[in-house]
Amino acid sequence: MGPPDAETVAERIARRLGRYLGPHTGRVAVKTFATRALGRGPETLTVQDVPAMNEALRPMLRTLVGKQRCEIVLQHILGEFGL
Amino acid sequence: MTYRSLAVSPFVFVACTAALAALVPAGVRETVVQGEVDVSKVLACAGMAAAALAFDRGDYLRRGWGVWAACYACLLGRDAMLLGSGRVSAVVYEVTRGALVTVGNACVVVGAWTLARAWTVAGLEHPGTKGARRAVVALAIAVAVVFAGPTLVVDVRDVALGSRAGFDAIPSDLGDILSLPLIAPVALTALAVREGTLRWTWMLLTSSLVAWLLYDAIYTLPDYLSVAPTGYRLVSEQFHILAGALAGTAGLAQRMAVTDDDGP
Repeated sequence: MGPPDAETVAERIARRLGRYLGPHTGRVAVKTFATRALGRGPETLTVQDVPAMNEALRPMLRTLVGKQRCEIVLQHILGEFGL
Repeated sequence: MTYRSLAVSPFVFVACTAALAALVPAGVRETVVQGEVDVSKVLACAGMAAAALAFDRGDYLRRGWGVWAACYACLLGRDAMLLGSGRVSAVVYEVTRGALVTVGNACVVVGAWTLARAWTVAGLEHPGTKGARRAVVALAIAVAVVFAGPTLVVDVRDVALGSRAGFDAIPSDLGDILSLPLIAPVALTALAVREGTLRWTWMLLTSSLVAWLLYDAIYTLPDYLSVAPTGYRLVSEQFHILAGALAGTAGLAQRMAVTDDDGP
């Protein structure tokens, strides 16, 4: 994975998830929920898609790490993009 | 404490309990081993309760960890009844023991089922092809039936012949047969998160279930080989202890993953 500036939006979200799920599964999760929630592949994600991606990721994160940790991770993702 | 040292601790604990069991006089060995088993159940109950309490009310995994912790509390209650043996009537003693074992085993099945389904409930797919995943589940079911099945048959036969001992053994056998196949989805979840911090929780939980399976396997071995069970039973109890200690550390690893600050 390259430096943060060279990363795509999907890669930056996956990196945040990867802390808990591992890098590979983090990328799989972004692909799964981008396709499911936005109907598009992860390579098409832009900064404007980040709030919608967060909403799509919320049930998954809440199940695996609980409500409080889920909200912290989602805040970190928003912070990653200055949102 | 780091995840790595947490993961090593059950094995250090069992090395100590095995050494103690080997060193004490033969006359008190069974009592000492029973005490060690109960300490491991306390560890399991405390670790799993700590995991449950790390989650908020309504969180999916709070229920799974909480119910599994309740299982260990019931099994501890059953063991504690040994202390009251002779002070209460035989009927009250056996009914209470039977009830605690039945509720405890129902809890382990519900708890293991809830945790095993976490990945699916999260909306994710386990790694591997559908065929490979089904093969893993089928293998886990077959192994559970091979090792826990014969004991169930023996206990049902004993009850049919009028033995009352089987009344609390049958729920225990059924609990094993229904919960041990759940090694498969738990292990697949561990495989899915193998590079993240959640791996410690799921690897330790998988290891706990494998230790429980080995406990059943070694416990059953004398039935297959028609040999005296004494030596085997003492070895199998060390896997019993390991299963409890690993379950407790799995809970603590879950708590760490949920509550530790991971920075900005």
